[in-house]
Amino acid sequence: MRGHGRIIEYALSSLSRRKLKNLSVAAIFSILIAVLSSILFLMHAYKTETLKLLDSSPEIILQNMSAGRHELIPLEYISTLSGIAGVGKIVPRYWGYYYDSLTSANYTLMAVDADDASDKNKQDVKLINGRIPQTVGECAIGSGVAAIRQIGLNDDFFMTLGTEQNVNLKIVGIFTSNSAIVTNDLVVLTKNDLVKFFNMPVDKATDITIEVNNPSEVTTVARKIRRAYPDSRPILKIELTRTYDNIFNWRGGIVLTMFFGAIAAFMIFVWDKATGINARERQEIGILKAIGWETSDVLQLKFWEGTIVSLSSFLTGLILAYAHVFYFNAQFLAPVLKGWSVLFPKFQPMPYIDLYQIFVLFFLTVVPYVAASIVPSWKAATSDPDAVMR
Amino acid sequence: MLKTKLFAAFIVIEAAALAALYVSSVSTVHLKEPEMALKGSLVRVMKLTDVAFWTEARYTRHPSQADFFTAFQDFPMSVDHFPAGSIVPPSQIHGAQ
Amino acid sequence: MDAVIRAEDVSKVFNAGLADEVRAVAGVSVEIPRGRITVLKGPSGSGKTTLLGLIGCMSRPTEGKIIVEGKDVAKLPERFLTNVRRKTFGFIFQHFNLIRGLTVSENVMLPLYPTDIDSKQMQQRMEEILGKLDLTAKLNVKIEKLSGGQQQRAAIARALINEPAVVLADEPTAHLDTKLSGDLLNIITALNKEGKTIVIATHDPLIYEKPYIDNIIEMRDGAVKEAALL
Ligand SMILES: Nc1ncnc2c1ncn2[C@@H]1O[C@H](COP(=O)(O)OP(=O)(O)OP(=O)(O)O)[C@@H](O)[C@H]1O
Ligand SMILES: [Mg+2]
Repeated sequence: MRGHGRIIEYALSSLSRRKLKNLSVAAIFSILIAVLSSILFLMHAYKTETLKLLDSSPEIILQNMSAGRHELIPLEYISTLSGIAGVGKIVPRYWGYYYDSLTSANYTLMAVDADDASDKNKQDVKLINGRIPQTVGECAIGSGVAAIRQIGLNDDFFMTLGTEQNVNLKIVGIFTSNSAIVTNDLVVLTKNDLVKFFNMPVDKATDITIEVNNPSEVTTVARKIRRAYPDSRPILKIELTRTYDNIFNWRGGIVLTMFFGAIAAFMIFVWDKATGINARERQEIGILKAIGWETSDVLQLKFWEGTIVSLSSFLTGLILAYAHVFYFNAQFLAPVLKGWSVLFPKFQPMPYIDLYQIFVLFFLTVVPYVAASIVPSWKAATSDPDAVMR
Repeated sequence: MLKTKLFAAFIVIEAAALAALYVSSVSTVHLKEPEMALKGSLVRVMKLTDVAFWTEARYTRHPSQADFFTAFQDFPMSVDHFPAGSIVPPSQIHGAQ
Repeated sequence: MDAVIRAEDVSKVFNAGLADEVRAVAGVSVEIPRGRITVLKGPSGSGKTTLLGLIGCMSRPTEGKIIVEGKDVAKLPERFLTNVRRKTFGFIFQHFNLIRGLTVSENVMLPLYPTDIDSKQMQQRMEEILGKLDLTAKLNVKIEKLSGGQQQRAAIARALINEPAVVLADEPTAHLDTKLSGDLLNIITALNKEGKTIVIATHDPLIYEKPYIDNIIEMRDGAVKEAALL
């Protein structure tokens, strides 16, 4: 091994002289990388999966508005809507929320209309143990609901909103936990049960889903709908995905902000390194120059010192982050993500990785660190070494 | 040169581990494509619009259905007491149209 | 006379143009004869260290020429100056300037790290030199664990590792007692017998009163007061 290799060897020797200091720097660096990339990994995985899934959402959902509030929508709209050019299948949705005081959790109730031919395909849902309810008195629940109520298949499921409005359902299906991202808090029951339970007028639905034959005409169709019903609100699929895009970017930003303290501390540390080297380091650089090292040799040494610490920390941090997010379900981030959500779904995030994010992280952490190792030595390395003679 | 060798070994092992993790992530995603397709069809036939992460408020459970656009309804930047409320941004989409 | 190094009318000014401007070396012309021991003597502050630094290409003169092996190095860019220093000179510093935390062998081999020399050869050279200087037992000991005299010898070993033609020493006896100073002189004369040119800056009579010291340059206030080639 010659010149270059020996400078690396010397950089390692030099670092190992201050083992405790350099190991703690590396540990802090690794943890910081682990935290930052955990957030990035998790947000990207959630976002990718969500956007992929919601791509199958209805093209348009029509909500009715009354006096500036969301209202049940009259079913009579449907005939007018089907007259609009380009409109495909129109299906009303019946759904709502139920607060279960027993478990202090909110459930989302959704109806299937077993009598309606257009709703038949719901029976084909695969990710369920058991089946979708077919007759009055049956229900299917999400795995989160099953877990919090400690109930299983064929058990009874009781919900009440008073003496008139209550249902006692038999559980005929439980959604599998790998679908929890969309089904965790669902209670699916027949339309008749839901309408009775919520005491909804028979001529109204919660909202209406509208398929559009040609996806490029969605906005035109939406405009026509608004012209027909100025107090209605069409929600387009593209808005829906943009909403989620926003939420995950925002959420990631908020979590990153929470770790601002850690980032700031690290930046101060880098700044401190970058703005000056101590007398001892300056002296050592002087000695190296005096015994025949060139400026470029010294800068190479500093480059390697910075690279050794930051590269190994970076890789370690990434490994920790991957394990944390995709093998341990991001346990340390869960409390932050959860908020007050009682029914936060437990599921293994799909390991969608964005290499671009990793490169960005690399350029925002490793590169400044290496630069901060080299730059301050520059002056010492370029000045004449005669200072060490006295 | 012992230290250099140890260090190089360390870096190579870490890089290999990362590469392995990446490959496993890609293959997991690939393997789970059928499962994703099933989930997609679940969303389609059940006509779902949102993910079931946060169940504490209407606009956190169904951000896409919440009344972002009506006056005063559940405006997510209003002072409220749900932690998740602080992380759901007001929609710029509707205002922009 | 065959001179390895010639200084022609060199001056070194520190803090030029400022209120605390110092003319540490003022218009000095000296010759360092090949294969002999030259002593720079003079009181404290007379400019010995500064002149030694100029001769050894540690810094460049403000004015004048430094001719090493027939080539003027005063105007050379930094890189080339380093190269000349690396090939020609071995330094023994007043404060040793060893790097704490490294072993004796690492300290000694340090000058050769960035060069093209083969590691085995480098190792061999180091062992050989440390053997001569009686430090073989301390090869893998941290430098700061050594006594003052041993550190001095480690510093000498480091100065010799690049097989320099000229060895420069600044106050080499400053931290040594009489016996150790004697040992040091023995080492230096032995090196001289091997053919190395030696320059010592000192005000220790123990050195410059030795009969075999050939060439004494006496300095005062940055200028040569008397140069006697015995
Ligand atoms: N970097 C510097 N900046 C300013 N003045 C300096 C510098 N280096 C040396 N001097 C001054 O130059 C003069 C000569 O210093 P030098 O170190 O060469 O003396 P010396 O003969 O080696 O003294 P000593 O015997 O005490 O080591 C002194 O007055 C010193 O203060
Ligand atoms: Mg001096």
